Amino acid sequence: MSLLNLQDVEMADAFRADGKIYVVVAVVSIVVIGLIAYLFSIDRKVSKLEKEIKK
Amino acid sequence: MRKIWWKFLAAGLLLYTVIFGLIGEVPRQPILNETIRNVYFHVPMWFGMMALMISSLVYSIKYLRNGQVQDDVYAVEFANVAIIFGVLGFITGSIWGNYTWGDPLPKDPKIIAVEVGLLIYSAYFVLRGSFEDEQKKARLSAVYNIFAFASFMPLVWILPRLTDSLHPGNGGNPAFGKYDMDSNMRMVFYPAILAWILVGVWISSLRIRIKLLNNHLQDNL
Repeated sequence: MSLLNLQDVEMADAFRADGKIYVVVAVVSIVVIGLIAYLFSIDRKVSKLEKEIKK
Repeated sequence: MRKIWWKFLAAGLLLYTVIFGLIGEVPRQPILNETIRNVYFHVPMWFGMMALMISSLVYSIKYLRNGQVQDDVYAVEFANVAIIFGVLGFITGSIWGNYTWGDPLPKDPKIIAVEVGLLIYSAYFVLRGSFEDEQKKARLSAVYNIFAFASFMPLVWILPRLTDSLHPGNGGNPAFGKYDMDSNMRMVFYPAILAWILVGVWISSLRIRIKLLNNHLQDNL
């Protein structure tokens, strides 16, 4: 396929040009950060239990 | 499990993957269009599943060698999380396939192989559920786990390559690594794989620790 044809392939170029893509990036990042923070908090709880049981 | 740095590494890589998976440059491919970004999220599920299955296998072999209950717990929980990753990979794959191949579940050798493989693995849990005696349960399921792994790998990696498959890298289809993925994509794809493997190991480790605590409590009651 020639380069010209490749430029015809429809992509979300306008979405990117608007900068609206960053809205999506922000939302997804918050979700991921939230889930990771939750994992860390579960991790801490398990550690606490382990310490208590060892006593 | 006391070391924490790899958890931060997992978190950082995951965040990096999500951000650059959305804003990074991707090749312009007809039909795939922007959905090529699914490579960053669908494929790592399978890599995560494989890594966890290998860990599960290692601990099953360890259990058979020395009979430590702890190793059995490791094997089960790794397999548990591996199945979760497999199911997620399966669902995401069928959504992606629906819009690019025109069918959520085309009769593709790789999909059928994975269906069979996941069923073989679910039998592992059915088998475990059917024993009262803990030792017998652990020993037989460890043996079955080795069998499950030994049948899963050729099903998914070898058989689809012998015939025609829609999946890249199978049956004469070029793999993503060769033609479709450029260096921009690789910069996100490889970290994504590592990130999801680490997250999988992390979740498994939590499950293992909870299970061990539970066992400890039951022994002391």
